[in-house]
Amino acid sequence: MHFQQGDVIFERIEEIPSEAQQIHGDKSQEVMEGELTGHRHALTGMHSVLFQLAMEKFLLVPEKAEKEIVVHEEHRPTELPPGKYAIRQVQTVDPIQAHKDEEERKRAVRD
Amino acid sequence: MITDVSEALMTKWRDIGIKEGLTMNPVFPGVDLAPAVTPPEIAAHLRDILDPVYKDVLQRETPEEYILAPSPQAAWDIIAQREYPEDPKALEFIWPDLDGHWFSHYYIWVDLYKELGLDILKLYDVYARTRTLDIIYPMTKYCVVSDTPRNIKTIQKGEFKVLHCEDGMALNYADGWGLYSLNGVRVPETVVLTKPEDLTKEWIQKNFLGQVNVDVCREIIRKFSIETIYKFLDAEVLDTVEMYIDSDQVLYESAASLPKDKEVKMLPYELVMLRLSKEIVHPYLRMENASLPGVYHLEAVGRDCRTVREALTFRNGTSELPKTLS
Repeated sequence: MHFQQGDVIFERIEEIPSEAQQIHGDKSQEVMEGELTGHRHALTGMHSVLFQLAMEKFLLVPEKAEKEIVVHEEHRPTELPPGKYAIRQVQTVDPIQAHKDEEERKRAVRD
Repeated sequence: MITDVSEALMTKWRDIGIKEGLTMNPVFPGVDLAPAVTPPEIAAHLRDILDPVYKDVLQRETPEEYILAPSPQAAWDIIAQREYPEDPKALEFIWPDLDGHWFSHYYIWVDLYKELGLDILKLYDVYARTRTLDIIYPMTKYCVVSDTPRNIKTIQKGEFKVLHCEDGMALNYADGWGLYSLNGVRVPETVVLTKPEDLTKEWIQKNFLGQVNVDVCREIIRKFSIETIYKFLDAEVLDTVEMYIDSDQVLYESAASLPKDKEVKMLPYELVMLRLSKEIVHPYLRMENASLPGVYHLEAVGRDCRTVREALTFRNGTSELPKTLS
């Protein structure tokens, strides 16, 4: 099961990787930030915890929180029930590069 | 003691303060970024119209020199060249800073005190004049004091004002530096200055297909229309699907399962093949923003996608649809 707010997906997972580190300080409520707008997908609750492992982020919404509400300047609030989530962005492709790669692969096969 | 007279005067000067810009509402929400690097241990004061009275104040912090620059960007460029010649991006931080107009807060009370006939410290005249300044970065060795922008053009978006100008820079300084913005999204100059009647296939290939930021793409679509882009790229629609969200943002794949007790909004999806060049034709997913009616996104998906469902699976990285979408 997953929940989507704009280009951010919250996917329910069984466990958050044990190596993931809790995010503290100014960024502890920031799920993701827009490059050119300064807009942020941000947590509003007091109990949820963000974790980071390399470039990946994870979210723990504890049972005592009842729910977490994620806000963004341009999107309606997203309610997340208690649970563990992997946070990721939707994906797209560079079509020009994708076709180049395909052509190279074809050439490799031919060779 | 607060009397009726003093209370009325306080109200009067509070209103004047608000009118002159003494407000905490941010023009750019979320700009209070933490510094990426430690500020340099150097002091300087940069402004092209330095007044001795500012020097009196700022020299108390013993700056070593004053460098004149007409905009914050020019100031940072000078400091970066001196202090970080190997890494000019090292100074890309915008905090800590002081806003010049905050100092006008003091001046408002000075005016009030004057009207009340109270004696005022001479130093408050300094604060009064700082109303003409913009952002101030006080550091040990450098103190960057910015002139105010010549123009700031905004549009109201919900509770925020965001930068927006359809025929020029949305923000610019006296030295010509500035930025272009549409609906709060910083966009390349050509997106603002290119007129719809001047649009060409080459422009779309370079500036739309080559653009990786979805917000910039959104603004290009909003300005030039999806139909225009379709026309230039010989669009061929492969699949269309209507989905729905209710007032709680719950997503429904078909009209058959819609709730009867909630308001429901239809979301149109369309998979279209676009001719990117003579050799390349690629599928794109067109979708309406679930939270911004009338705002459309057009994103490249996997080259093998032939249905909306396949495109959403590719985009979301999972075969199931989201439970809620906003």
